[in-house]
Amino acid sequence: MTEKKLLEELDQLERELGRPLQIDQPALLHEFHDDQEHEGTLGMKVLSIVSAFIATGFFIGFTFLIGLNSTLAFAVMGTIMLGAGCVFCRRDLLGILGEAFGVALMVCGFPLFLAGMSDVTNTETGMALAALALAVLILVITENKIITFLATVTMGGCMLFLAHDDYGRFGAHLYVGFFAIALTLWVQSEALLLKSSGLLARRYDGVRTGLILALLIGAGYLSDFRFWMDLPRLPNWYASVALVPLLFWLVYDLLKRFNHSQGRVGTEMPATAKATGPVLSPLQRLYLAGLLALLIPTIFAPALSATLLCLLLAWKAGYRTGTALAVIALIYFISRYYYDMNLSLLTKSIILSTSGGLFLAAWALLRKKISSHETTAPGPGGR
Amino acid sequence: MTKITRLSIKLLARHSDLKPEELDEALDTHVYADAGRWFWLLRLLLPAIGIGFLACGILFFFAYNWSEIPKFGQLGIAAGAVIIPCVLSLIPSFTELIRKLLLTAAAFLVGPLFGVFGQIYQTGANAYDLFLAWCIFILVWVLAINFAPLWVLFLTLVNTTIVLYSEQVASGWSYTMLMFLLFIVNSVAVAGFVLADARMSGVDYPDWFKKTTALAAVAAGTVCCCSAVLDLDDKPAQVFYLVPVLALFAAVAWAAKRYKNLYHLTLLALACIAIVASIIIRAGFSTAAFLFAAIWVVGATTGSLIVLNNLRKVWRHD
Repeated sequence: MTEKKLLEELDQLERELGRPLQIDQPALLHEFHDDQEHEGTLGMKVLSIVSAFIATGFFIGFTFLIGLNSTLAFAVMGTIMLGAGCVFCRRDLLGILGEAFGVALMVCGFPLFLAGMSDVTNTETGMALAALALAVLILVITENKIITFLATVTMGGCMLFLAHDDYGRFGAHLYVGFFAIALTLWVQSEALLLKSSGLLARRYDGVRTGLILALLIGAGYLSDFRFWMDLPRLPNWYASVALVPLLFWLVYDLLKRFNHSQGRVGTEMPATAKATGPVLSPLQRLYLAGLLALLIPTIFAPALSATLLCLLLAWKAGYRTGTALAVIALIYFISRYYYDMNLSLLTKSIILSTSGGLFLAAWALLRKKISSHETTAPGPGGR
Repeated sequence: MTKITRLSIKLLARHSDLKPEELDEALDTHVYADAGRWFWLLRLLLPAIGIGFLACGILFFFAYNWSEIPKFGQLGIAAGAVIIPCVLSLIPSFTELIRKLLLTAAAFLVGPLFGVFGQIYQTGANAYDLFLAWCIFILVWVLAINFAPLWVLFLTLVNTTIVLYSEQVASGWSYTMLMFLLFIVNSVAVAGFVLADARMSGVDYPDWFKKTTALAAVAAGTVCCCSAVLDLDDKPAQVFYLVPVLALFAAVAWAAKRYKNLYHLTLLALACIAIVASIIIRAGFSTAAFLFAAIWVVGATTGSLIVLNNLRKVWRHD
C-alpha cells in the first residue's frame, strides 16, 4: 500500500464518520512506513520461527556434547540470550536484521534459562510455573509479533500442563473453557483493545494467533483422550458449559450486527427495530434454533465446538491464517470423534447419515438465500 | 463503497481521537465478514460436510452388514458407490462446485471398489497394486474435471504408490532414492500446474493448491539432499542425487526471482539452510560442528530475511 492510498482511505473514513478527526499525522505516517519497511510475509515469519527452533536444537546439542552441566552456566547463557533477544527485537534499533537474530536468541535463551533454574524449581510444576512467569514477562516486555505469538502459545502450554497436573481431566476442560472465553473476548473487543492502550494494541495480532493455537492445542488434548491421557471415558461436557453459550452469543451478536448494518443502509429493517434497536427477525431466530440443534450433539465433544468457535471468530475477523488452522483442526477432530466413538458400526452409521442429511437439508433450505448473495461474496475473506 | 484496509483503520485507532464505538463501526463496515462472506462460507461448508457425513454413514452401514452380504452384492454396492455420485454429477441444476465435489467423492470411492474386488477374488496383490490401479483409473477424471481437491487426492495416491512400491517390491532402493523420486514427481506436478495456469486459458488453480504442491516438492528435495549428505560414508554414489536437486532448486530460484514469487524463494531459503546445516554436521561430526551449524542457521536466516524483505519492498510497487 502506498502513502497516497493510505491518505485516501483516511479521508474516506473521516467522511463516513461525519466529523473531522484529530490525527497525529507524523506519528501515523512514521508507523505506516515502519510497517511497510519491516512487516514481512507469513512465509518469512514461518521461516524465522522454524530456523529459530532448528538453531536451538543444534545449540542445545552442542551444550550437551561439551558436557556442560552447570545450572549457573545455563542460567547466565539464557539470561544473556533473552536480554539480547529483547534488545534485538526492537525494530527501531536494527530493523528486520535484529528481528531475525532476536527471535532466534529468545527461542534459544528460553529453555536454557529454564534449565538454569532447575535447581530452584526442582519439580515439574515449579518448572511450568517458572516458564509461565517468564512467558508473561516476555509478553509484557516485547512487542515483536512472532515473540508475542510464541509467548502466548507457551503460556497456553504451561497452563494446560498445570491445569492437568492439578485437576486431571477436569483441568484440561477448565483450560479450554478459559481460553475459549479469552479468545472470544479478545476478538469481539478488538476496537476496545486497540484504543485502550498502546501496550495491548501493539500485541493484538500476535496474541490473537497465539490464543487460537493455544485453544486448538487444548481441544486436541480433549479430543484424543486414549492416547494422551490414558484415562477411561469420563464425562466430557465440562468445557461445553463455556463453549456452547459463547457460540450462541457470538452468532446472536453477528445477527444483531447484520440487522444494524441493514438499518444503516435503510433496507429490510423492521420499523420497530429502527426505533428500539436491532431485533431478530423470525428467520434469524430460525438460524439460532438451527445453531442450537447443531451444538447439542457437540456438548459431549468440546473439541468440535471449540474448533467451531475458532472458525467463526477467525472468519468474522477476516483472519485467513486462523481460518485455515480451524478448518484443518475441524476435519481432524470430526474424524477423531467418530473413530473414537465407542458404538457399533450400525449406530455410527445412523448418526452419520442423519447428521449428513440434516446438513444437506439446511443447505437446501438456505440455498436460495445463499445464491442471492453469491455475486457479492468475495471468497474466503480477509485483507 | 471502497473497502478500507485493516492497516489504515488500526493506524487511525492509534494516532487519532477515534472513539472505540467509531472504530468498531469502521471495522464492522470494512474489515469484518459481511452477510455475503458468511453465506459464501455456508455455501461451501454445508454441502461439503453433508455429503461427507452421508457418504461415511452409508459406508459404515455396509461395513456393519458386510459379512452377511453375498459377494455379488458386495461388488454391486462398491460399484454403486462409484456410479451414484457420477450420475448425480450429471444433474445440471447442481452448481459446478457441487458436481466437481461429487466426482471427487466418486474418485475417492474407486479405491474401496478395488479393495472389495481384491478381497473377493483373493488376487494376492500387494497394497501398491491397488494404489497404482486407483491412480490409473481415476486419471481421466482428474484430467477432465481439473479440480484442485481431486488433484490433491491423485498426487497423494501417486506418492503413496511410490512409497509402497519401494517397501514391498523394490528391495534395493535407499531412502535417498525414494525421496529423490518423490521430489521428481512433485516437481513435475508443480511445474505442470504453474505452466497450465500461465499458458492455458480458463485454467486457474487456487493459490493454496500450488503452494501446497511446491511445499511437498521442496520438502522431498530437501530431505533427499540431507539424507544423501548424512549417509555419504555408506553410499558415496548418493552424492549424485544432489546435482539434479540443487540444479532444479537453482532454476526455481531464478524463475521465482524473475516472476517475483516470494513464497518459492522463502521455501528455497529454508531448504538451503537445512542442506548446508547437514553438510556442516557431516563435515565434522564433532562438538564444534553443532555450534557452527547453530551459528549458520541464525546467520543464514537473518541474511535470507534481509534479502527477501528487500525484494518484497521492491516488488510491492509493481
